[in-house]
Amino acid sequence: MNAVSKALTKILVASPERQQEADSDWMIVQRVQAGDVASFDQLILKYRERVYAMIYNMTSNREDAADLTQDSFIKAFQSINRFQGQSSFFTWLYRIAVNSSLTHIRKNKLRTFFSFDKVHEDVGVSEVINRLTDKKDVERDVFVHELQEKLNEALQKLSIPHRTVVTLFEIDGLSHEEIAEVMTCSVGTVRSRLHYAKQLLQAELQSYVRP
Amino acid sequence: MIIPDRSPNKVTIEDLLRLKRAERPSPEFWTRFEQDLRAKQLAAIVEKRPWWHALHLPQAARAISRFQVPVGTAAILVLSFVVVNQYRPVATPTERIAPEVSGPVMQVAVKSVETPKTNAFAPVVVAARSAETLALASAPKMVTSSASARTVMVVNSTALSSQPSELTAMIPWGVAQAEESPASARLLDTGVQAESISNLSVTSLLGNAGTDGDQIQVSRPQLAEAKSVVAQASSPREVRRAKVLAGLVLADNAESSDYARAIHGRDIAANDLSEAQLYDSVHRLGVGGDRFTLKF
Repeated sequence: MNAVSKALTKILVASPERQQEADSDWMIVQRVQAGDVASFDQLILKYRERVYAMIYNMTSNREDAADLTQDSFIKAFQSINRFQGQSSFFTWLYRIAVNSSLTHIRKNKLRTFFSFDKVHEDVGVSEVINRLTDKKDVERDVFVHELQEKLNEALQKLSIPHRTVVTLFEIDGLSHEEIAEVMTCSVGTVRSRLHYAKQLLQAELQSYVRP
Repeated sequence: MIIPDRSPNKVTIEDLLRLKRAERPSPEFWTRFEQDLRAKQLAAIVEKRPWWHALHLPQAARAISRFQVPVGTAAILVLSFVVVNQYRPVATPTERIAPEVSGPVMQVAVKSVETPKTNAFAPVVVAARSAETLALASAPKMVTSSASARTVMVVNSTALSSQPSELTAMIPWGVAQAEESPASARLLDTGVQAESISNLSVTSLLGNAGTDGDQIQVSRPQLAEAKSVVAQASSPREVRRAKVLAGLVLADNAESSDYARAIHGRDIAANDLSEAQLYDSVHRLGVGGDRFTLKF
């Protein structure tokens, strides 16, 4: 089995939407490789929020997340000629972003500052907050901010691999297979890490969890 | 199918993590993000990348990793071949050295002629394989042949020249093979010349223990016994062993202070260097069962 068919198999494991996405990305990448540099902007617009969200949840710092997201796109742009379509562009870009985040976190292990983005309350989030508190207006905002801090603290207490798995699965919505590809580990490892990380989070956020 | 009953106030860890998804930056943030990214992108285009980025090292490593086993095996084989070649004893095939060596051989031979020939030496102990023979060797008798205290050992030249092959294996720089060269063949016409070559051979055999100008004399019985020892040496290991033993005999016979090195070697051999250690140092490569050992 050659590399292309291997890559196709991996993409087919993911959902059909992902496969369609991967195909369209591959076409854009080929254009960029052919010299149409402006086409790379499409990829930036498409993925910047997801990449930023992933890095933000890994670092819990919006400034660092912005810088690392930019760096990830620059690295991807510089290395675009090496991308041969053996995996989807999305997972390739994620791998770059995850590696950049891990390098940053390891470098700044002892220097951790939190800075949060605002919580945009949609229907689902409002419902969860309503279940947790019956406070209104300012008091509610304070409660949400406190919960946000607790959540970030709990995430930062996890080890880097566990934090990465939780971020990619629960927050970014990647499948187990995609996470395994991004983290270059087995699907079983992803599952066990996810299970263990959730147990730890449950213990940390016990006061907010209502069984 | 039973649908799990979910109470209206139930909050799971997944619900809490959904809050994290809702943390999003404002649209102004993205405007600034784009400006910064554009600047960084331009800087990256202008910036000259280090030369090693052009090597595509990760790709090369990936390509090599596919052939790990064959590449590793080939490397081990090449290394083994080089090491075996490096440590193979300098023995028989020395035809290429012969023309170069024929000059010095003649020179030394002339020198040897000047030394007084005498067969009146007392029998001298010769190297032998067994411990008993070594014990005998502890009673050496060296004879100084001249007033300048040059120690000379007379060699039975006919015995050596008749069967040169065994001794040849012991001579590091292939003097014995010089006997096969035309120049040496002429020398062999006379017994004196042959004797000189034999003298030189023994000197080489003894590891050049003497200083310049010193000659070593070996008595006939001694040489005969040495010859028998050499004749028994069938492998490079045996040849090395015979060489060391012959060196020990010479050390026992030494009277001059010039042979301090040889005496020192004898002491080391007597006190510290067991046979096993000696062979251990000689054989750095070993193959046994499924193992391949290499000693440094």
